[in-house]
Amino acid sequence: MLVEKYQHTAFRLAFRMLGDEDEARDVVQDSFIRIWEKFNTYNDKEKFTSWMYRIVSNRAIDSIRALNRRPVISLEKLIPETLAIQENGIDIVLENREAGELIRSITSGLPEKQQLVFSLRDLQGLSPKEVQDISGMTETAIKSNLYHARKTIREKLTGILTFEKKLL
Amino acid sequence: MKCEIAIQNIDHYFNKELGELDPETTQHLAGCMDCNMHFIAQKKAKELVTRIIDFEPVLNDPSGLTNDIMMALGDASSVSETDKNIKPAGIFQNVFFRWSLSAAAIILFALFGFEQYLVLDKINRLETQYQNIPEAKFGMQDMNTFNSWGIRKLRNINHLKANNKELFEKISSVTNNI
Repeated sequence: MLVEKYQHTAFRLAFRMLGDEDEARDVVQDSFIRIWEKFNTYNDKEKFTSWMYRIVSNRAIDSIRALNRRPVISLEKLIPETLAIQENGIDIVLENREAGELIRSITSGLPEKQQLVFSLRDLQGLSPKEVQDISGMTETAIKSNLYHARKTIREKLTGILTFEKKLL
Repeated sequence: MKCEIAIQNIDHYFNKELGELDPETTQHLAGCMDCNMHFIAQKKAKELVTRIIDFEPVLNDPSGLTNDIMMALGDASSVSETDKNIKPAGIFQNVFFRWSLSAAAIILFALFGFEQYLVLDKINRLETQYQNIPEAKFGMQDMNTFNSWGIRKLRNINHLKANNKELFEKISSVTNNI
């Protein structure tokens, strides 16, 4: 059955974009309703997963817009609570909740396009061509958005980790 | 080497703008505590991002999600099916009544349409006639000329009346008798 076959893939993308299990489940449910309603517009020359990802990512963006009005736990609070920062490196076992909070914290404040490209390319591991098909952006725009997203995230984390290190 | 340059080089290295750190920066790192801390923080940030990237979200209770989706799909489909199966109530169920109603609507539409045509045609014809009368054919200036011509004619008649008073009286008495 289509739902059983693709719900895991759809959930993973929704979760990586939203960082919230319940929200991701809602987005997956809405997306399948949308898929069912718009199935007659699906062009079978296109990969089904690409079409599905486009629907899921659009729904997730709508949800992010609504979620942005909610406060996000700041990284400064999150890192010492969630992660065991050790001298030799980071030793963590992430679970949905922790990973979700981290995703939300590191991606919060990123422009929508950067957030989308980072989620699709880095977190979901899609190919540049797939990201292009889903987002409708040019290759150059994808590269540029991804570069800035990675840089902002690392700078954000570096600032906090430097501060933590000074405290030790 | 200045700390600002070393930090810039470290950032470029982690942003993959530099393939590897140059020996001068590496040497600076060995002796500078602050820059060393920045390097370690960048390294840990990279590790952390990699961990987040590598993380596979777990879909808890997948059958529950499937059921939720199927129920939502069932609701969505049943709503559209209900829309399709809505039946007319009371007298509207009678086929003959519905046909009569449709026929009446068509006749009324045709009648009003024809009447509309007649009115429009009448207006059109009136406009054509109006175009043919001198006042309408000429401009305002011409109309004034026309009016002054009429007044002059009237003045001439009055002049005639004054000069041939008896004759006019006779004529009017004859006309009145008739």
